[in-house]
This record gives sequence, C-alpha cells and structure tokens, in this order.
Amino acid sequence: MHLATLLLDGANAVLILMLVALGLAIVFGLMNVINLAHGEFLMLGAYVVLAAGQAGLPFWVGLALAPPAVALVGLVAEEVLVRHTYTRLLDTILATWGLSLVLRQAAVLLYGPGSHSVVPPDLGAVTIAGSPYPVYRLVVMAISLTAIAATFALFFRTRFGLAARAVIANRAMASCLGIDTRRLDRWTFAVGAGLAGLAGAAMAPLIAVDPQAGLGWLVPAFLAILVGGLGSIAGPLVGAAGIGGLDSLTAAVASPVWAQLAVFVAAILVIRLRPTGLIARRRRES
Amino acid sequence: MADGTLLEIAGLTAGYGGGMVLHGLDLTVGPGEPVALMGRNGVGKTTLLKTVMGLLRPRGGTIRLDGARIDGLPPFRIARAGIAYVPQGREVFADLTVEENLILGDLAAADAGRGYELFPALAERRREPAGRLSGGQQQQLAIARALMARPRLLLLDEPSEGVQPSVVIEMADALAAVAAAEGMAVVLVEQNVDLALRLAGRVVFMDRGRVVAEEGGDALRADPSRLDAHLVL
Repeated sequence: MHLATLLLDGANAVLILMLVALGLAIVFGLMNVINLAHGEFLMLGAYVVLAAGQAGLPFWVGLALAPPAVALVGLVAEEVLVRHTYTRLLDTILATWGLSLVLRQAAVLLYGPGSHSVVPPDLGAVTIAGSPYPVYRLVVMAISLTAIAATFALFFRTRFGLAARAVIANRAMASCLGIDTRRLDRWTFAVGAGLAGLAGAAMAPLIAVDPQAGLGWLVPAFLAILVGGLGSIAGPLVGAAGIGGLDSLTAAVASPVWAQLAVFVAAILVIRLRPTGLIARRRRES
Repeated sequence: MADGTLLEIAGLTAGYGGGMVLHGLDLTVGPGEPVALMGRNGVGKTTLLKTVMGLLRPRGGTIRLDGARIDGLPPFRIARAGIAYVPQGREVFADLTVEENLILGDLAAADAGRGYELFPALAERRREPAGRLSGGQQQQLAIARALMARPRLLLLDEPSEGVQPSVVIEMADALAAVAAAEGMAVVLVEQNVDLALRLAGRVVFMDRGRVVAEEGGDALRADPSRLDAHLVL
C-alpha cells in the first residue's frame, strides 16, 4: 500500500473517531453521563442511510436525514430514560448499557441480524501522490472536519455554548443565573447523539452495516477521552488523533491484532504517566 | 420606605438531609428595600438565601414574590422571576472570561456594558479568565453578573469576605446607587458591620433559624452599641 493512501486512511479513521469521541465527551462533560449507547447511535446513523436507500432516496438525502433522526432518538432516550439517572454515575452506565441492547435488538428485529452494505455514491477517484484514492473518503473527511468545526463554533461562539460551558463548570450557579439546565441537558444529549449518527451515516458505505456496527467505536472513543483528558473539549480530539492514528497505522503496517495491542499499551502508559490526560495536564501547568 | 411587599416568607422550614436549620422563619422585604441579615455563625442566614433561591427545597412554609408562590420552583425559574444571587465564595466561573461571566448573568443581553458601567475596572480585564482576578475583583464580577439581568431582589451572601476594606466600600456604594436608581431590593448577609450599616435600611437579626429582632438602620447608625445587644445573644 502506498504511503499516501495509508496516511489518508489513517486521517479518515481519526476524523471519524474525533466525531464519535466529541459527542461522547460533551455528554459526559455536561451531564456526567457515561453513555454506553453512543456506539449504537452511530449504528443507527448507518441504518438510516440504509433505510433511506431502500426507500429509493438518494444517498445524500439519507446522509442528511441521519443526524436529525438519531438526535431525535437521543432526545426521546434522554427524556424517558437517561434523565432519571442523573447524579448516579453507575446507574447511567447501567441505563445506557440497557439502551444499547434495546437499540441493537431493534435493529435485529427490523433488518435481521446479518450485515447489509450501502453502495457508496460513485464519485470516482483522484490521484494523490501517485496513487488513486476514492473521492468519497475525502468527502467523509470534509464532513467530519466541518462537523467538528461546527461543534466548536456551537460551544465557543454561541450563547447556547456559553450556557453549556457554565453548566459544565458549575451547574448550581448556572441555574441560579436563570439557565434552564434541564433544557440544556436534553439538547446536548441530542447533539451528542446526532454527531454519532452523522459519523455512522458517513461511514455507512465504508463498513458492514449490522447491529454490532457501533461496538467497535465505543472503546476507542472512551480511550480517546481518557488519553486526551476531560478538562477541555479539545482533549478528546487530541486523544482521538493519538488513538485513531496509532490504531490505523499499526493495523496497516502490522495487523489489526497488533494495532489493538499497541493502542491499549499506549493508552495505559498515558493514563499511568498523565492521569488527567494530555490536555488537562498541560493546561494546569500553564 | 417603599410601600407594599416584594418578598414574603412565612413559616419557612428548611435544612439539609434530616437536620432542619430554619424553624418557621418569617420575613418580609419591601420593593427597593435594603435589608441586612445578621446573626452568629450557623443560625441559618446562608440556608435562608439558598432556600429563597431554590437551591434547597423548603420543608414547610411559603415564599412569595409579588404575591406569587416561588417555593419549590427550580433556581432558574426563581432567577427569571427577578431574584439574583451572589453566593458566599462568589462562585465566578474561573475558566471563563470576565466578559463571559457577565453575559451569563443575562444571556439575552446584547453585551456586557452594564457590568462594566457598574465596576469599570472589570472592563480592562474583560478577556481574562475570571480565576485570575483578585478576590475583590471576583466579588465585583459576581455582583455585576448578578445585576446584569436587572433583578428586583438581590441576595448577597458575605460579599466582604476576603475583600480589602477600600474595595468593600466601593462595592457598597455602587450597589446602593443601583438599588436606589432601579428600585432593587437587597437582602444582605454580612458580618462586616460597616458594610451592613452602610447599605441597610433595616437590620434583621436571626437566631436558631428564626428572625428574633429587627432595628432600623438609622437607629443603629446613631447608636451602634444597640447592635452588640442583639449579636451577643
């Protein structure tokens, strides 16, 4: 495999992992909810694209529908399930784990246990550094970058984001200033779910769409957050770059088994040496 | 003194877990009226402010603002009803900038100009994280943040704590000016007698979760020794 292809595939994996980790991190940061169903939100995004295709809709319509559809599922899940477990960290893990089982079984009931494939839109290939590369994969990267930038803009350039950062810092005081923390929780959970849905939808043509599709993303996303640190919204991105980059490069050079090993060893080392994560630690020293 | 009633607390019982701190407390505050709450440590002054703000759920009794019940409402509804709160220890958002802290006081505000008018020193440090300000400036920020939304009632808990005396005076005068200009009532919990007397039209004394006495501010300013009689209970 050419080096350019290798690096581009790595960048692709990293950017998608960033999207997944970002959604997971904002939900944890704001609500202290460890969302074990986050991978299933990704899986749902892929199924929305599949369903839209089966309904005869163009791929891009399915891609556009997936984030709001999954965000809606997130909104409902927050309202009927997750909000009853706030302030009890262990219960949020159990509740969202249960939710992940329900969502996976729902996919089995509707589409069977087997895997489906989504035909990628035919965009052709471009030659990069002497080797052909599918344009669709470049589009996936552009979508991820745009979504990451939009999430940052939402959190750092809007009043909604300012309110969310205030709630993350001091929930009670934010409430005393007139901020409706319930409403903020609900919408943040929906945004997190929507990001996962977007990641799943964009990846749908590149992966096997099956009920287990989300499982492989949850652990790397958690590792990304642990490695990057929870102190800032940039932490998960740095972590995702490290975890995703190491994983895809090792997988390409050696094998996926070695990649798993390398990722876990690296994660353990980072967590051992910098327990607060790469970013949080750096911030404190400054 | 302004006529009518802004805040009316009747038979309020509240506390933490199983232990009650307030035992049937009654207090009324008129519109635009500055009241100081005094009493020894542990008599329930901070608990009272937290309960009015909705941070603690009352076990009994009622709290009315302009005649409407606010007890049992979540803090954000109470804030939107027109009550602002400056907690003990200030609780500014240390990682957010001065400007962001002010905007959080009123997310509908076009800018933070109102806060800078109140304490011009804050304008010079608008882009700095609030955690880097001195204690006195953090207190000014917390007060300015509370005033952003033009509250009808300001609950102020120990604003002089950890603040230089000269800054305390400046704060008191800025607050008194806003209160007079906008008809804002103030409930001030304060150990610092100078600050309390500088601001308050009436001083209410608490003991063991109840209001036990009150004095007019003018009478106390004329004869500060009357204060000791209430505080050495």
